[in-house]
This record gives sequence, structure tokens and C-alpha cells, in this order.
Amino acid sequence: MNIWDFFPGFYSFILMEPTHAFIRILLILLGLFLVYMGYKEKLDPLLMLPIGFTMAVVNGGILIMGEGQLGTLFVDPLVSEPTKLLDALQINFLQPFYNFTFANGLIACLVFMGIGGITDLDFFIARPFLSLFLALGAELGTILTLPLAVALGFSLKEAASIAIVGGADGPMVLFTSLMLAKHLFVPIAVMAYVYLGVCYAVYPYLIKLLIPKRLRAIPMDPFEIRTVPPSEKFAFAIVAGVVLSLLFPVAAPLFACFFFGVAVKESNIGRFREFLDILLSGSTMFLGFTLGGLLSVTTVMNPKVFLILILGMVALLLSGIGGLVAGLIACKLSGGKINPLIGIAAVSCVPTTAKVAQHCAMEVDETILILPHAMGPNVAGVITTAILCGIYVTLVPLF
Amino acid sequence: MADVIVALRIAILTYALGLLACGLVGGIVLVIRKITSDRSKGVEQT
Repeated sequence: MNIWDFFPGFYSFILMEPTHAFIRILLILLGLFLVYMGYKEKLDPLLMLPIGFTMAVVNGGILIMGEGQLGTLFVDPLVSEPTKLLDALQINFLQPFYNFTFANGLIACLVFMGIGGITDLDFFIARPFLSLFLALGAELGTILTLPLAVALGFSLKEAASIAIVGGADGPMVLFTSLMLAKHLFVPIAVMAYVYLGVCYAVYPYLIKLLIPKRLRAIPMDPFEIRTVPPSEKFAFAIVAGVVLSLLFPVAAPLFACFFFGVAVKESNIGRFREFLDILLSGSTMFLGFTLGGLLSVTTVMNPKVFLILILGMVALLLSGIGGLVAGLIACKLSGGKINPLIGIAAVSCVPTTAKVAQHCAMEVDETILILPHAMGPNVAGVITTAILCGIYVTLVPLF
Repeated sequence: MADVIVALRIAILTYALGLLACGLVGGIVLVIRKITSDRSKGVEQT
């Protein structure tokens, strides 16, 4: 008997190609780094902790499977043949979760329903056109990345799935890639969620680069936002959900889940609201956990992954720039009454980007409170991204 | 190059449709606001 048989995790390093082994070590270290950054709250801990931890563990836990092949007991996203799938469902502990909630988009819809349950429409309904104007500006990355990705050799469907990363909304990225480019679902989804966590760290630098200090210090009175009665918010959620589903039936599951979550919140059905809280926490945790499990060395070695990484970053940067430019235009048009920082909040990613806007304003003046104003474009960002996702999923297959 | 031009056309079309859909969403907000404010005024008068 070989001594290495007692330590199959280590032995698998010897059996691997040196490049794979090297990247595997890098992934373990990156996973641990993400856990650390999440723990220190420098990156979004809700995502970074489960993603980073499982990413480190799945790359550590590679062993020799039957027929001498290397694999893990976590999940195999590439298995599609029925007999092999049945085997995988009985072997890999995350496989049932992946096949019954990821591969059909259910997890995206559940997260989106939970997000609806915590979304406060007050600020959006109080100033709908300002919010939507900023949100449309912050979709710059979603729009420009499409031709850019095609120019780099991706097909239209693949390019649209990558471009939607610019909307900075995880459930929409999952949904679009599942509808248009299932074969790239894993790298796109993983990259999108990792980047959404990174928004937290990168956008402050973009803000400092583009917005002068005096404009960042523009005060906005939080009390000037009118109070919106729950009946108005409830009616909006129901009508908008139905009308948008009518316009873009392919994205109707997303609209239905989001606006149902909002309707539950505003209808004040206590038991449903409590369940939505648990649903959001549970779905986000298992989403991160499974995404981390998908980040094994075999996924990362896909030659398209590197390009997807670059395009995802470009999409989010362009969206950030678009949001801030729209913020500057709104500031100019309002005669300097609107703090342009609320433009970055339009890059969806509720509520991370709104918190980034508040944080950057407070760096200049600790007494400034722009968070309530930033929540309007933040929510509008979710709505516009869902709309653009619906349009891409409807339009792209026609060409 | 032809593919990129098609992609550019889709991007522009998507943005235009998105603009219209967002206008519609804004319109829904205004209509609902009008209905709820009219109703609350009616309740105050009675």
C-alpha cells in the first residue's frame, strides 16, 4: 500500500498537471483571503464568507474517484447525461441543491423574492423619474459590454449573459445566463457574485476619481422625501408586476417574485414577512455555499473564464461611471441641490451601493445623510436591470 | 465586424425599449399616486 493513499487530498496534487496544481493552491489561498475580507467586512460578508470558505474547501477536497479520475464530493455542474446525473445526485452532497434550485433558476427567484421583502419603495415612489434617470445611466455597462463581448469572440447569447453583470444584480445574472448561455452559467454566476462583493471595495476609488470633494459634500434633506402610504406601494407592486410580466413574459418569474415580495411587505402579513426574512438569509447562504463549491480548478481552467473576468469588471466599472455621470447631470440640472453620489447607488446591488454613497459622503462631512435619497435610485436600479434582463432574454434569441 | 454591428444594434434597441419600459413604470407610479391622493381627499371631505 502506498503511504499517499492515506492522504488522497495531498496525493491528488502529485497526480495533477503542475499548472492545475498551482492554480488549485491559488484558489485555496484566494478562498481564505475572501473569508478574511468578508470577516473584516472589507467585502460583503454575506457572500464572501460562504463563497470563500467553500471555494477553499472544494479545492482542498479533491480526491481520486472511480476509474482513477480526480473529482470532489461537492457538485459536478457539467454532468447532463441522465444515468450519470442520477449517480452524481447520489454521490455529490450539493448536487441535488444545484440541479433542483440552480439549474432551473429557482434560487435566483427565491433571492429576488427575499430582496422584494426588504425593499423600501418610499424613496423610489417619491421621486420616480429622478431615480429611473439615474438607474438608466447606471446601465451603461449592461449596454456597452454586449458589443464589446461580441468583438472579443463571444456569441450574442453569451455576450448578453456577460453584459447583464453591469446591472449588478446577482439573481438577474443567474437568470439570464441560464436562459441564454447555460454552458457558461457557472463562470458567469461565480464571477458576478464575487464582483458584487468587490463593488463594496472598488467603487469608493471610482467616486474619488470622478466626483470633486465639494460636490460630494452637497447636503440633502432626508425629511423632504414625502411619506408614501403602504396602499400606494402595494398597488404599485401589483400593477408593475402584472404590466412588466405582460411586456416581458420570459422574465415574468423574476418580476413575479420581486413584486410579490414587495406586496407581502406592504400588505403587512406578519407571518409571510417573517418567512421572507428567513428565505432571503437561507437562499443567500446556500447560494454562496454552492457557488463556492462550483469554483473548483476545473471550472477556472475554462479558457473563456479569463475573458469573462475582464468583461465583468469592465461592465461594472462602466455602470459605475454611467451612474456617477448621470448623478453629475442631475446635480447640474437641479442647480446643485442633488448630491451626485446618489448616482452610484443606481448600480443596483441593494443596499451595498447606497451604503457606499453614504460612506463616501460621510468621509467629506460626517453630518451628511444621503442614504434615504440614495435608496430611490438603488431600487430603480433593480427594476431597470430586471427590465433589461427581460429585453435581452426576449430580444437576443431573435437575432 | 458584422456581428459587432448586430450587437450594437441590439444594445441600442435594448436601451430604447428599456427607456420606454421605465417611462411606463414612472407613469404607473404617477397614476397610482393620483388615484390614492384623490381617494384620500374624498375621505377627508366626507
